[in-house]
Amino acid sequence: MITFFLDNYLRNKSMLFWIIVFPSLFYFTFSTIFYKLGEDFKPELEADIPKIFFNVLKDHFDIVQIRDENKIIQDVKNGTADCGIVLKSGEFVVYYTSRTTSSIAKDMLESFFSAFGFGGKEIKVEIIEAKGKRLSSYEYYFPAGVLMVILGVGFFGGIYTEAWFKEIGLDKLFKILPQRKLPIDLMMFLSHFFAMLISLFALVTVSTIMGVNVNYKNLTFSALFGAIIFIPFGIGIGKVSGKHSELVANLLYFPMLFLSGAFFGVSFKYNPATTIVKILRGKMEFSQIALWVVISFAIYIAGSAWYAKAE
Amino acid sequence: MKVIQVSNLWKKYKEVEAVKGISFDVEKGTVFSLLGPNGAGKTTTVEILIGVRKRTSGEVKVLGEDPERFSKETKKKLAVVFQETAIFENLTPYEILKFFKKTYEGDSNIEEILKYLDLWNQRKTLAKHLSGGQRRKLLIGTILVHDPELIFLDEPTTSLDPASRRNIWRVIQDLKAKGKTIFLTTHYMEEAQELSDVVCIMNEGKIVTMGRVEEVIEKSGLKTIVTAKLNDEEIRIETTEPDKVTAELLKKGAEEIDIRKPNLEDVFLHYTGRKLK
Repeated sequence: MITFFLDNYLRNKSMLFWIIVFPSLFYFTFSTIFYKLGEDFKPELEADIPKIFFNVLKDHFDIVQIRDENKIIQDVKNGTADCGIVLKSGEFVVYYTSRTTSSIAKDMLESFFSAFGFGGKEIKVEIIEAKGKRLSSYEYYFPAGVLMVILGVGFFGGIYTEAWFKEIGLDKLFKILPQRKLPIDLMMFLSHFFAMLISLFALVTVSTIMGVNVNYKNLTFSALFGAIIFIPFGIGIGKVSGKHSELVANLLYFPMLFLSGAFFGVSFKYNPATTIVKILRGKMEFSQIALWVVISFAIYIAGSAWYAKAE
Repeated sequence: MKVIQVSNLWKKYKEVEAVKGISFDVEKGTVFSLLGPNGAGKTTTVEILIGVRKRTSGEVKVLGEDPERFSKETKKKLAVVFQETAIFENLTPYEILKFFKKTYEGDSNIEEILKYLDLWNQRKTLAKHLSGGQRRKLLIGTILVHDPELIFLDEPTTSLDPASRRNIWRVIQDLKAKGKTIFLTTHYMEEAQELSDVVCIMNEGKIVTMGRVEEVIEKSGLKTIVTAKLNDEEIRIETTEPDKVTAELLKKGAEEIDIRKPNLEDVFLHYTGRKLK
């Protein structure tokens, strides 16, 4: 039955446009327009480093202080930070990669630290991984692209399909069908999930061509989490929004996309980065994930209950 | 044997009472037509009978079960063609029938059904590219993929051209010949008269009359209208004895005598004050 759903879904040319062409096109265009992003140097400084160094450095760099050394190394590896500075056994260790920005940042820090004196402390420079490219705008906006797919195909698609099924009477037809191995809403969830995977595949293909080093673990987690959150959320809202579904979907979709934080710089003071964006940037917060799963299913159950009562 | 039993059925939507305490039975193997103007409560009644809408109160049994708690086995004995064109727009007729065959675990031959419905040449055309008549035929086809006992057809010929309508009638008559029970709602008087064993007229949520077509006409108390020209004057007589009146008129030398017996449309107009299509 899911095959029939998917066939029906994927043969719709406008749906294909929204699933495959639009996210890739939007991602490509957005990344190209803001291609200069990612050129600012972003060192991460260990929290134990004396405050005076931090105060001096912050005037010259877009700098953040982090307590965990492993986290600093990870951020430098994945490009969130250009280089990392850790105070270790009485000497400064500078972590950097072979990315252009990382190498430049390391050189600048070295000369800066030399000029400053360090109170006699040694500087140890350590290269941790050679990844080639600097954080490009494509890398920067990749989470935004992923989020757009999750919201567009999962949430928007969920609202729209549910409302459309109601409009043409397919919801009634489903209720009378005798052979249903899975509940209709679960089949809708799965068909949207598969469509989301197709859309993500297109996005990952474009991103890879543009040189993005995709973190598949985070992507998989985001896709699963995004599907579990946003498809039931969309279906639940679709059940109550009826003929106003498109308006409701747009009213919720664009603010959610904007407020997700995917379009904000990681060091931006007012970055509202939401759970999925944090996951995509390698920062998982399971309490937030659990909370959102509960909220989403509550909305789905409320929508279903409203629909059943309205009938 | 009664396949549908409805007793004092009510359905209220907030302030609106769509169905107001209706009761009727449908016998096995008959065509039962529910007639009524828009907003009479026909579709609501059908949706309650097939279990997609909850009733406010009253007793309903369809094939011996409460529609709100249909078992899988009972669902397999039912078939419904909805008023809306509920169909997968981007599947072909062949795929759609395959879907229904699988869902109902039917054992019919899809090729035979498509040929019977004159849809074989369109078997690979996406449903959204079919004409209105072809789509309706395809919807009818979805009930042929299994062997239902009770078939609900909610305005199956609405907005079809006469030829397409007659095609659908042929299918309904074939189903009736096979002993299927058919619950039909329609706007078309001619259709009801042609296909029905029993007609039931609803208006504003209530049943205003019910029975075999002749019984319904008789119960209405409507008289035969005899018109004629007598001494260059048009005369119009309403009578229950048209033969006697005609003979009298002929004796008096009347010309252009026309006798019009009341039909279902007159009955409908009489009870609802509205004309059917």
